[in-house]
Amino acid sequence: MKKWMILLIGLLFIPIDVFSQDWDALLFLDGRTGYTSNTYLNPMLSEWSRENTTGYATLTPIGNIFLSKGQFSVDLTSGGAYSQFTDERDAWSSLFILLNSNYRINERWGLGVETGGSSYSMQSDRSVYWVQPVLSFSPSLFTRVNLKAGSSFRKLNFEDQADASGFDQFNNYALELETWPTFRWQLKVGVFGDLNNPAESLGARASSDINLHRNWDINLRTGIERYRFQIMTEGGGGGGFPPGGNPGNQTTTTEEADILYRISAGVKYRINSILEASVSTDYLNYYSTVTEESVSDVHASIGFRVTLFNGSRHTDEANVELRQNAKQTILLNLKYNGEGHLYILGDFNDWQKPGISLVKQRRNRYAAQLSLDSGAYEYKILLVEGDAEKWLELSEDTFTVNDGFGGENGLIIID
Amino acid sequence: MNTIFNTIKRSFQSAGLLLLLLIPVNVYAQDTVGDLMDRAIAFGIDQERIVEIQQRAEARGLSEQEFMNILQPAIEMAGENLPYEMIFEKVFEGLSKGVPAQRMTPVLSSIRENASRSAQLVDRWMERPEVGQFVERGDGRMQRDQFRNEMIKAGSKAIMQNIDEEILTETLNSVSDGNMDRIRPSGLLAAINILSDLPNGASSATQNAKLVLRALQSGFEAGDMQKLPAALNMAQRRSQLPAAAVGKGFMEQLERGFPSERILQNMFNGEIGGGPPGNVPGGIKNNRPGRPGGN
Repeated sequence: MKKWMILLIGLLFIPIDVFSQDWDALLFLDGRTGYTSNTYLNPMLSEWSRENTTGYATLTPIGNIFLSKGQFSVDLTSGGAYSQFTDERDAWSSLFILLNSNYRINERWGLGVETGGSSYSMQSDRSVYWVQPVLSFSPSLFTRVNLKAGSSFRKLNFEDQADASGFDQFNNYALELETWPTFRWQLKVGVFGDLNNPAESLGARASSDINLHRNWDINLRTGIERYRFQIMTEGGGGGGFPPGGNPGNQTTTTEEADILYRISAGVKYRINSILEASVSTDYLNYYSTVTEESVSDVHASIGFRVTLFNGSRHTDEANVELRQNAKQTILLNLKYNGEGHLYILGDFNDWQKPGISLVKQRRNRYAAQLSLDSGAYEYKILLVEGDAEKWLELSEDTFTVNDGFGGENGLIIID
Repeated sequence: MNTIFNTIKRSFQSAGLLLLLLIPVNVYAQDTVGDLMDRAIAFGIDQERIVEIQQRAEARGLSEQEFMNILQPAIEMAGENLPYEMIFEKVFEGLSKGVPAQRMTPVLSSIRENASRSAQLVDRWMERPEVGQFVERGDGRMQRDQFRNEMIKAGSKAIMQNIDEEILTETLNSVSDGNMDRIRPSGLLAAINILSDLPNGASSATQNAKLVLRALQSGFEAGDMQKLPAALNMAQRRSQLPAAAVGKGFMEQLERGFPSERILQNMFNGEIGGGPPGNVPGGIKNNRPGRPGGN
């Protein structure tokens, strides 16, 4: 199966190389610790296990890269998770990759494929792969409807229980709606199920993300999942016992459905541009239509997310952030990966070299404070390494103007 | 005899007249650096600034004639009450970047020409009483003359980037025709500066002008404005929609009164679009045989 995984990853990269023109990349580390009575409640564990109620800590590095050219776009997410538990069970680890590619047919319609795979190493080894074509319709820029249908494949492998190992295929469908009723409120609703039994396996989910105030967000989720099975039980041979029981060699078929209700709520707080803290709680109820068994599980956790990298094409460019305070001063923060001393010069100092020195704050962050009269000033960043000088290009996120000489200058506007 | 005398007399008169006409041309052609500096000072240009440019030009190895060529447009602009500092700033920049004088000269001429065109429309606009009130409102720190100069500079750069003067005029008039309560001078400056950097630039100038106008009236300040081109370009890339559709969606959000910071943040995050992740079966298993995923 590992060969398949490698092949899949290889195949996924081919279109990226072909299509890539612009890219945005993100790398972050997610850390979470909490308590759960069923590991199914944790989206990063997502495996039904309520044998031991346990505390856990999970570390999840995740990378995302978005590439586009013309009407093609590719969104690739990949990462891993490592979980330690407070009970005696061994640590769990996993790897996953998701690739969504899309072709925008016109302003309203798009066609794409969602594919991916994950591999878990826990009490058993579990690998899942899926592929599903997606047809999307956007009645407006802030509303989108997706229709998906495809297959997922799961392989389970128990080292000590060969008969429990197996391979399953599921054929799924989903109809999803994503919309922004207001700019602070994102709403997603969807129905999904098994293509082999669409009506009886119908499930639904809804999620809502609301920005309460600048850095505060809350999210609410609810859903129902239904898993319907036919359980076939073979009767005993030789007429059976006790007398009057089932005739020998008869198979009894029982219809069964597992119904899962879930509801969750979480709060996120963005401490700054790279650090985010969150708290979440989940409740899950499991109900079996055959045994009428009903059990409830809970999950609570706190976590953080550190953004390690957030950039776009041309990583050797300088990304400048400007912030004005009330005293006609501009605070300039610059992100640059490279060696040497950095200086800013521009209209405010008559472009006199070497300019105003930028002070290194930490690994790739530099800063300067400029006191300026009201007005607009063009500027540029000069890199000095020994006797060598180089004008740094500014990143796409930094506002620039044409300098008339074939280059670009940054622009500061101060009240 | 009399005829011959008259012919000779007329010839001398013509030659004299021709000579008189030629005198100023000749004098101009032989203008010295000193003469040029005298004229500059007479037009109110600070002598120290000229000396500074002269010293830097000499240090970069520019000839006297090259120095005069780069000074000339500034003097002409000063004579027409245009912000000649634009020329000095560009000269300082060019010298610092090592741009040869012959490459600087056409750029300076272009600045001089575009500033003149920009000044015509800015001055007409500033004559409007509501604009006068806007500038003198006092929430910005720019004085009237400085605001005029900055607007001329911004307009000049926009014209240089092929933004039509008519669109600039319409944009400015629309700003003053509407509610200017939430607009700050620096925000307006930034709006003019970003016009050519929005998706599709000059080819969607009318649409872009409407967009920046709406953004201004929604309280976008200079810093927000400067982030707008990158935000819109990224939103367009992420959504793979035509620029007009992204702009339209942006304006819809503005109409709903959402704060600029949130709008820009969402555009950067690429949260428009997306959707639930691919479905991964949960992996329910228990001890009952015959169930998918079961033991």
